[in-house]
Amino acid sequence: MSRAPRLLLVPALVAAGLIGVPLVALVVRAPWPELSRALAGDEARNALGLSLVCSLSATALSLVFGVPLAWLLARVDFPGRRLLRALVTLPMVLPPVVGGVALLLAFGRRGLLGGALGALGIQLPFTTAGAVLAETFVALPFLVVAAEAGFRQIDPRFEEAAAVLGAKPGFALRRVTLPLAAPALRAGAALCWARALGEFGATITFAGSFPGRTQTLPLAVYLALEHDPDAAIALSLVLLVVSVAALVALRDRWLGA
Amino acid sequence: MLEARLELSLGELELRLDLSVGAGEVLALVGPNGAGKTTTLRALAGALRLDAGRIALDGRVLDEPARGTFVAPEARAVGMAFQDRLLFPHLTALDNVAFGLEARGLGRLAAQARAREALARVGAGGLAGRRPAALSGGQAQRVALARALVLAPRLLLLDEPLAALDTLAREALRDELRRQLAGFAGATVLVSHDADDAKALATRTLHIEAGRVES
Amino acid sequence: MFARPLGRIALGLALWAAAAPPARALDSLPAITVFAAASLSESFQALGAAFEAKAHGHVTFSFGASSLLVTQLQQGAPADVIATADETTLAKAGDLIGAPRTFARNRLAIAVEKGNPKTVQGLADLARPGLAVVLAAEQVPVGKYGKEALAKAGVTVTPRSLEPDVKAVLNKVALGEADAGIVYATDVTAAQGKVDGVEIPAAQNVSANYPIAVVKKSQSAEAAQAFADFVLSPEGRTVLARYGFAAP
Repeated sequence: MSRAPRLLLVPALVAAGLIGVPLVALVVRAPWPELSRALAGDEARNALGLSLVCSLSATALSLVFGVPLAWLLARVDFPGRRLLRALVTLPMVLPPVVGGVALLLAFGRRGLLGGALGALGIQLPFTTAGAVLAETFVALPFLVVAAEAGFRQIDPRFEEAAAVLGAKPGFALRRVTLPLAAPALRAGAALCWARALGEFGATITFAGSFPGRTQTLPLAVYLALEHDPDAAIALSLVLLVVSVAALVALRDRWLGA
Repeated sequence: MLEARLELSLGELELRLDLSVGAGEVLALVGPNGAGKTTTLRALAGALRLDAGRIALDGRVLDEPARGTFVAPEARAVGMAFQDRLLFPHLTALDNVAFGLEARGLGRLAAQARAREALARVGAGGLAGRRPAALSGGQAQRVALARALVLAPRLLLLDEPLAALDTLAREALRDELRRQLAGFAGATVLVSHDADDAKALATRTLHIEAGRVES
Repeated sequence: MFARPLGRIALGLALWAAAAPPARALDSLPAITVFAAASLSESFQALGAAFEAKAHGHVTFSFGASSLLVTQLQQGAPADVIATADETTLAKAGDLIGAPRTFARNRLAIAVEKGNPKTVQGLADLARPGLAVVLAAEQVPVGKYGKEALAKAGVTVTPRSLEPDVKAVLNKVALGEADAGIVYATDVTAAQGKVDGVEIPAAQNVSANYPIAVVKKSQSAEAAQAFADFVLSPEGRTVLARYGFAAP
């Protein structure tokens, strides 16, 4: 065995440890006897249910709107493309709370579009829809980035071949482009969902926190931490278990070609 | 019957070509890389638009910039076997061959039935359920040929059909192609960088270099 | 291609660092960390500045919801002094702290949008349908007090959100997302005109007693004690009064 692999082992183990140790600590130090009590309450079930509904909705929205955008960025050369791509990835580097404030300034009561939305009878802050919007805002970029990469690695000659064989653009998209991009899209969707599930700052700033309506699991954990650390750990474990289960289930697609 | 006057600029290539291919005829385009052979086929297929000139197949105008006429590739009665085969990696050989039929509106089962026949006709009947990754060069080439022929096109375009094959496969495929072309009623344009292959398969050969016929 | 902009950034940073005030010579008292309730943000920063000018020690603050601060302390966060917005919360720190002393009192007020466009005049108005009211979560002192005040006034309110600390409540009102929120009177003062305040009469109001205590494990016990004493001193009381706090 050459030297290089062995040298890489140390930093690799450090990286694994950095992620692994806190998670193991969470499981090891969990107050197992108190867990059932902490989880039996409405608060936990509401928060988990709401988190799943919101994160899945955010992922669905990201797919519906993000995949076309990713396709555009990958396949069409238009002026300002690089700017648009940078803009779309911006929420990834923006502190989530800043994202929440930006959402308020755009869609809040006094926001840029707030007046128009209000006239249509649509209110977003303090609603579940608002929580979904906040989660979509932070998670969409993950999907777009993964999807664009997925589209780019498809040989454009396949799409040309499909057309010559008789496929109209819609048929080619459905039967050639999307299937070939599917692994990347699935990985992107998984990342997007995970990000949406864990979202806190933008949600609490834009949608607020109200049990059953906007208090998702991360918000519930934060609040529980203040008065009932055992409950906080219990809720965190729930989030951990749900996330791990989903990511493991997607493992094959994720790693598969 | 194919009548084409091609004028096209692509990158550094300036294509100026006049073609005329009758029913049952096989025209071979021979020349070095970059001569414009594939570009010619792409223009005939509709993947590229002409700058000027005219393409007419069986009297139907497919491309005439002067009159603003352009028929999209999917609407042309053209069957093409592409360079590097370009079999869709996520579909079986059968579904690859059925693809064009389904794209043109045929139901799945009917398309698959016809695809099976087409595969058998090119000697690839047993390969129906295989993915392209599991096919040898020669086998993939047969599937690509079947994919083009199954559409019963009026114009058959073959881009380097014998490239990247070992000697044995090459000979076998050359014989197969000769058989298929003999039975094909439409016009065929075949591209090769190998003059011998061209001579073996074509009724007429055109040497092109830098976008024009070599004088 | 990147050399020029990087060079300019480096130059800028160098100039900024050079222009920063010279490091304070640490005299007799070492630096201390003070945990304080969110509602003490402005007043304690003023107290800190006054303390540094007087006693030449350096004070660093960490502001947050009282309950969160106590939890952090219990998890071993390094603090020398802790001041919370209610006595019950600080009591949870148990024997991590020395004897707490009350240094100020605060009262509740209703924060409303500047100009009070929805003409909120008292707690009873908060029950008005269609009014966007935001409260702090019950687990936070101001949330608990707010609930008490509403109970005293016999008003039932359905808030749009239960925020994790009082500043979050204030911000929702300041940003115009909420029409009204229950905060401390001092928060209205500290908001400096971004919100208007509506008084809650004494009969319905709740008095919040703010205790301060020295953390036993403090590495700078002397400095910590000095700061706590300063807060309780007449000078400290004057500063607090400026921000709207009442004497204990």
